[in-house]
Amino acid sequence: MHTCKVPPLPKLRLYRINTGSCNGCDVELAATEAITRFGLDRLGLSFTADPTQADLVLITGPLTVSSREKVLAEYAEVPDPKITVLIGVCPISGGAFRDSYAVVAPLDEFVPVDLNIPGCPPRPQAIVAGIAKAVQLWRGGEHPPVSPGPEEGSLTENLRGRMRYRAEACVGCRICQHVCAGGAIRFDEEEAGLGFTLWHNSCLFCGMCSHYCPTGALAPTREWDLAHRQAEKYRQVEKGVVPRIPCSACGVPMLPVVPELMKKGYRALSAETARLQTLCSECRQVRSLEGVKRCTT
Amino acid sequence: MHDVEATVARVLEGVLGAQRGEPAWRRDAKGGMSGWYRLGNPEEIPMVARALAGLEARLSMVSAYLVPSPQNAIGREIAYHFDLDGSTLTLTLELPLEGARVPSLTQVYRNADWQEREFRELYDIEVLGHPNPGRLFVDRSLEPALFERLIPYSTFINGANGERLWREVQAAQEEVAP
Repeated sequence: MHTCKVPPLPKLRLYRINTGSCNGCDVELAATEAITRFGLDRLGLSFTADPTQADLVLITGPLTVSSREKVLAEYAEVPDPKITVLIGVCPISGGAFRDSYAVVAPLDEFVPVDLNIPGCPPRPQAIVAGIAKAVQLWRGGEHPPVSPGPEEGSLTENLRGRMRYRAEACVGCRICQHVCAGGAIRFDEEEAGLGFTLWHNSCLFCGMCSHYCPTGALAPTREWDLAHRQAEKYRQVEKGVVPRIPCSACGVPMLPVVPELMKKGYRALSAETARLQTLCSECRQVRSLEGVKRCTT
Repeated sequence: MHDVEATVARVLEGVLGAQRGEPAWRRDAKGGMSGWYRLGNPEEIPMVARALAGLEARLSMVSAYLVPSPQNAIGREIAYHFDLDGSTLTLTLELPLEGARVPSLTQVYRNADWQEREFRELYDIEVLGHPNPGRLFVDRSLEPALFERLIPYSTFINGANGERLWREVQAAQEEVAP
């Protein structure tokens, strides 16, 4: 009897390059490789120490002035075609080291990049999910997604992940922009109001923005799978607009005083404090002084 | 008048003359005194330092810095911080942005050695008469006045990043928007 066997797909070989990282991503990558429950071995991969044998290149760290020549020479040894995956925000945007005199970032200005896995560092689950997408790319997208997904209980309780922004709770104080270590947050005056943009490819997941936000407008989501194709690099944003409203007394456009802030200022909302919400700061002062006059006469 | 105020006033008058005025003194909630005085020119700092050494004052720190404006630095200053038995006296010296020179205090206070070498590496200030003008911590291959050419880390981590990548982010959003 003749039996037809489908030959197994050849194992893809991964080659790692560290361009000068803090080793945070490398520690996570080592954990990804060493701990079987993250599921990297189920993707049909093996690591190689020989760049000439590699199919996929994983790059960590910001490209430094000192390492540039060696990194590019090593990268060139990997034969084409190859899939290039950047791990962590440092190679993607420069991360916290962007614009440093010692760093030449982003890496895509020097090598063609296929896939980005942002984070600082990304968790092993995110690295596996990203590599799974890279495998899919290598195989021409003909195969179904091969991401094994995280096992139940494999995510730590204090995982922060992607930040979410709620414009309806934002007072435009910009403390998040000030404390952001990666320069990932911008405010812009727009026609519709005050625009907020958070670029995930520069976010360090440090949670400082959420910690200092007085009204809870920024909060971690625990969403960790942010891997994306290179073409999507600059579209990985969290956006919102705080619309300006006219002051109910003088009509001057103003940022609304959100209930979260009123609760902080007055503990409980009353009819009197609710009226203050629609007043600009100058009219609020006038209204408050009238109240003082009533109390003293 | 508190003892330290009177003593410092007498010393400054003896060195600089009566017409120069006295330091502005503040007292904190716990009774600690701090005095602030602006010197007229660089030649005055060694004279005043010698007089303060006579009072057994300790040179606790020397801070050089650029005086900022919204756009650019508009000048530079050095603040010499002295300790007089628990009270502090800060002598501030204004210097020009170009050609700043200051006499060394290392002959009077040995600990000025490192502080003067530090600020001549970070800022464009020449220290005159320093007994040991070698590099303190910056590599010999780097030109001095680092803080005037490079981004201090404190500024850097406040998100003072360049605009180049942000323009890419904004362009991508405009593509997405209808």
